[in-house]
Amino acid sequence: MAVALGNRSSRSSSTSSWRDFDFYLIATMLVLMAFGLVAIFSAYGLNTEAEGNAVQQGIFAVVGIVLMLVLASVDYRFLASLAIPFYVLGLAGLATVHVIGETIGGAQSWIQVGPVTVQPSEFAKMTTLIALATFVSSRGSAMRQPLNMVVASLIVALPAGMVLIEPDLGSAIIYMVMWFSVMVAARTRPIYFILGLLSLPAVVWFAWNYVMEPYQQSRLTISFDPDRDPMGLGFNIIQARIAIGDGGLWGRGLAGGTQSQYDLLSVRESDFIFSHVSSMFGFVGMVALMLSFILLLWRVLRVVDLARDQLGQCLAMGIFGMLFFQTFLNIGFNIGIMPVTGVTLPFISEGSSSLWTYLIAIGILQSILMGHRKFAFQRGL
Amino acid sequence: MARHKRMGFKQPGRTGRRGGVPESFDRVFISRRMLVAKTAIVGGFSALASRLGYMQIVAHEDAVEDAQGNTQYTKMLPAPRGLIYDRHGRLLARNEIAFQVEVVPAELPSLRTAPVERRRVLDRLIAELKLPDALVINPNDIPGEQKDEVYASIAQARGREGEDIAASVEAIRVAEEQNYLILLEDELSIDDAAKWRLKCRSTPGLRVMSLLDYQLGNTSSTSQNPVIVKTGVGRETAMSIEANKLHLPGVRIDGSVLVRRYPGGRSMSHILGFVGPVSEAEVNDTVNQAGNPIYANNDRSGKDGLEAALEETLRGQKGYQRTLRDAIGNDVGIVPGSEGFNQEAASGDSVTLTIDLELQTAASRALKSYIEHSTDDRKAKGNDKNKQWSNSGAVVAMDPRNGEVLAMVSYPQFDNELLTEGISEALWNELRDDKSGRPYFNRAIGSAQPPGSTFKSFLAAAALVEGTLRPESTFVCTGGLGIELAGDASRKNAHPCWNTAGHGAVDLDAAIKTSCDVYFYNVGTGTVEDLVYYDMEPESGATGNPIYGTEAKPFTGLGIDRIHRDMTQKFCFGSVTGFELGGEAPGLIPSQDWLMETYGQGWSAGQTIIASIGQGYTQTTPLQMATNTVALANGGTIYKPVVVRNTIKAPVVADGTAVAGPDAGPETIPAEPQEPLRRIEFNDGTLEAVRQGMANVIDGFVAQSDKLNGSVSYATLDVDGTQVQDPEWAWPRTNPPGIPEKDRIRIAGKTGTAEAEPTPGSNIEPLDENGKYNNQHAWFTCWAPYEEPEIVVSVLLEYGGEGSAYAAPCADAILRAYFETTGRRPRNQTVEFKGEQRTVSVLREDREPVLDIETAESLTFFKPSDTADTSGTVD
Repeated sequence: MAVALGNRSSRSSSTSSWRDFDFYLIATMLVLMAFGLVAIFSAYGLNTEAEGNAVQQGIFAVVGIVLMLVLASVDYRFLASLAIPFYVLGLAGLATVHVIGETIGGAQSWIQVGPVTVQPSEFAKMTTLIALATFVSSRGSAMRQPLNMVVASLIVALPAGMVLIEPDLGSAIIYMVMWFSVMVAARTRPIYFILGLLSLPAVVWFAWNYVMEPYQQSRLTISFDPDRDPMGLGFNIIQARIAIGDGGLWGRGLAGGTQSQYDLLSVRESDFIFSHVSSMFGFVGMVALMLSFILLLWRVLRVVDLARDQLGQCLAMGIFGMLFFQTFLNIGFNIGIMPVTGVTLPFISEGSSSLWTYLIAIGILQSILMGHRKFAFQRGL
Repeated sequence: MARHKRMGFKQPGRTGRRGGVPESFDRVFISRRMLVAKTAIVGGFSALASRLGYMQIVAHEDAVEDAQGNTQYTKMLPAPRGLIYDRHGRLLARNEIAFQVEVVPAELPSLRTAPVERRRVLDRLIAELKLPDALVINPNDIPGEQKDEVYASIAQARGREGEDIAASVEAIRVAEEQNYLILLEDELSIDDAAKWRLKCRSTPGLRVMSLLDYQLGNTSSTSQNPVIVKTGVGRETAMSIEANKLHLPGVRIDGSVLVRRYPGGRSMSHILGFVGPVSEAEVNDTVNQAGNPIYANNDRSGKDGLEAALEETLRGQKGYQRTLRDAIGNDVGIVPGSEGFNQEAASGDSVTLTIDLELQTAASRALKSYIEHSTDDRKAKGNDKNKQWSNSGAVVAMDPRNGEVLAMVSYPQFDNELLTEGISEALWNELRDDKSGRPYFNRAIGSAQPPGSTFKSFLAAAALVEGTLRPESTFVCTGGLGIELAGDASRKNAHPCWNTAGHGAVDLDAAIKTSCDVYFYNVGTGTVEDLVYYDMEPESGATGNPIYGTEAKPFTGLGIDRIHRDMTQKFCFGSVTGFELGGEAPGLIPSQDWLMETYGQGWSAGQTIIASIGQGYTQTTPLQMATNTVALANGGTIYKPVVVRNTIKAPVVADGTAVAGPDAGPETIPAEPQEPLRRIEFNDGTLEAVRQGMANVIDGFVAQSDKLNGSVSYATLDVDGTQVQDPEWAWPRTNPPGIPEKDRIRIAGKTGTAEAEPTPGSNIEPLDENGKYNNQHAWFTCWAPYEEPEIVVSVLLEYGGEGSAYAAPCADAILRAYFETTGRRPRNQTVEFKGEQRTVSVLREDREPVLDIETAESLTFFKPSDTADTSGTVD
């Protein structure tokens, strides 16, 4: 059936091969999202108000899944053809933030669109990725030339810089990780890759000395020594540590531990949701959660493997890199081995922007999967 | 795993299954690159899992502890302190709910990360509460080698001189060891603050800062223990701070603090003492049955007086409650399952005192009036640079039927309410400073002075018990006697009578009435081998060179050993009485052993002679005087003086009012009948001779015919400045002129004019050119009515001069007040005397005692202006 459908190079969804849709990927993702709904319901206190928050997040999820299906049914190469408009749109969104943005938690990263608070840096991740992947794949082996590397770097550096000055260090780091991930899939000289890695300390040094305000520096360094200011900056980090440890092997149950119940742990519905669910479900639950993420990431890597063109590889690899690193960073700062940088836990944290961005990404991945069979048959003919 | 996959791609079968791969699309390339990604997944999540495992399994127990510590705390439920009433149910100590502003150092904005915010919070608080500036030294700002120099210059600037500078430097050096900041002055006036700010510019380490900054400077910035900023804050201020809670992180209002109030006025200060913040030692040491500390930080406990002595009765049982709190510090409930631990607060028991506040206040006013009168009157007679004027004294009034203390006054006085809210160093020093008369010192129990002639009554009673004296025993007084100096029989040691003209042959009754010294030399001095005395020629004792008769007479009296034994074991002199208040002085009855132990000297007969008239080493307190006078009044029974009448086990509600008054309900424990402490057995009627003598002392004041040589000057006492030499006006308050004989209240008493060394450190000469003392303490001890004693009053005016002139009329006023409280004398009585209406009542008609003797008008001395007819003078 898919064979019959895949015989045309149409961009319509009817021509996609739904047989190649990765239901493991979708199932894992749905499990994580369901887990997130429970966590949000609990984080708000398991009452009627909390129900409202969970329902709202459920609506976001449904909208996001529709978005995902739309993206899955669109040929990802069509998206690539719109790479430049998308990219410009993404930058415009980031610029808007600086003009009419709302300041939440010290960073000007949000704009209000109707009932929804939108974080343009999230959507700009995808537009930037499409632009980067399109450029890299279109250059092919020419990526070995330095000039193309410079262009590829600039494509990311521009939005990353804009995000950095919001200031949203976490998102800026995700942009950099995206660049590295796409470069992994690029046909380029390993030396650039190594040079990029080596430049990292320089970038950090520059950012530390010339971009970051002292209070931002404090927020980073406090992560590893929260006892320095236990009632100030270090407070939530300590509360997170206590909440996680308090969870123990099996957890404290649906209501979470005392840190959540007595409102000691802040942003437990978002950035610190991992600490909250750790106190709910304990070590066993968290290993299960992390295995779910590993399964998800493994299925994403499978897309890289199965992609039939370099564009697909670059897109999938970029998505993998972002998803992996954001997950690692979020859990990492929850458990105190990474600096607190204010990124969400994908599919779990409350909020629409992050969720929709990753659902769009999953849609693109499905599009790559569904497209690959068609490719194979065309080549086979 | 990754390795397996990598090899898998090289297998022809797999590539075949997936179909052909174009040359440009290098599968091997991408699978190699993917290896990086897969390694990252495995490595990354392994790291996360191991860290998580450590936190949730290895460190789990610690975290649980932290979790509970963070959210649960033991909330202390304050127990209202028991109330204190006088014997008629008037409140003497109560609790008042007050707002207390506290700062939790750990919750303030951090000095490091948010210094501006922190400053804003503190400045707001300082302005809102009008907190005073303090003068502080920060030793860390002073280079080590300059410290002594800087400290000395600061001490100099504070007005210290000479050795005080070195002492001040040393004190700072000591304080340096314990504190970060050192407090010099805790409440600077605006002018002083400005002056010191100027000085700060030129002095390293010296700072003028708010007291709050000083407190925080010496507290750990991570401390969760609140620092009390101010107690007793007004409601409006407290509400304003509470309303701005969000902008004042770390600031808390405690609206349940109970502040102690003492509505009984200053005269009660010495008895009640005060409450103050608990010491660290109290918090750590005392643990109740449930294993909880009795005190929490910032609690208050009794610090002195009855508040300290009755601490266990008054404080009650603090309650405990394991309480949950949220991030902002709001209580959200009781910890589930903690019911067994939680404990309700139980208020302390209240007590009723034996004190009658009305009498206490009247005694206080009388004491103050006569101290001032003594000074004014004697200054008018001649201002001698070697006179020390009276500015202090004490009164004790007791019920001779049971030892209840009806009034106990010490002067000067202080306001104990000022001390409950924490005391400044300056005030504390002032309260204990000689210059201000040491108002903190309770002279009624702590001032041990030679009793002088008041001692004679007790000596006579002891001699009667021992049988060395009989009521009819007679000795001849020629104005003094002399004993031979050891080793030089040609020279004699002179012991004149106070009346160098001599009293002639006197019996016991006359001896007490006239207070004849020679008589009591004979009563006190015992038979010692080779000891004889020679009579002094009348009036020769007044000169520096007395003339003696030739007849050698032996002593037949008690002797020092028996004096010591009887006074300490039969009477209750020379040791503390066991009164409830701390700070009692033991007084002293000297003995041979004591002198040897203390000074390494042997006892001499002359010292017994001096001891016989209550001089020399002998010392008694006003309380001892009253306690022992009780035995004379009631025929030989000594009671332990008591001031607590009973305990009321009625709950006290938080706002300080009692649920039940002292007379209400079955919970009132009736006063325990006082068991006599000692009973002195007199042979039938022998004590009566002493008692009769003491009654005659007062009768003598009243009856002109008995006035003795003009030397008993009581008749002159009661007109301010000008003297009334009119015997009809003697003892005018208790028994005013014209009183019918059937209404007369007979009073028995003994005066004492005790030779006094001047206050140490003053440059007053103790002796005049004739070897007589320049200064005297005025004593008077008495009871009334003579036949059926109801009250004993003992008065001491330190450096008050003659007991008969100043202490006796003071006692008269107090007796009058007492009989007004019992209704035996009217409250608003005036008598007509020589055409003038004179007020003789002591108490106010409105029954309410005037509490503040500092502002109350002094007792009238019948100045012309006090009389209805102001046209005449009173001579």
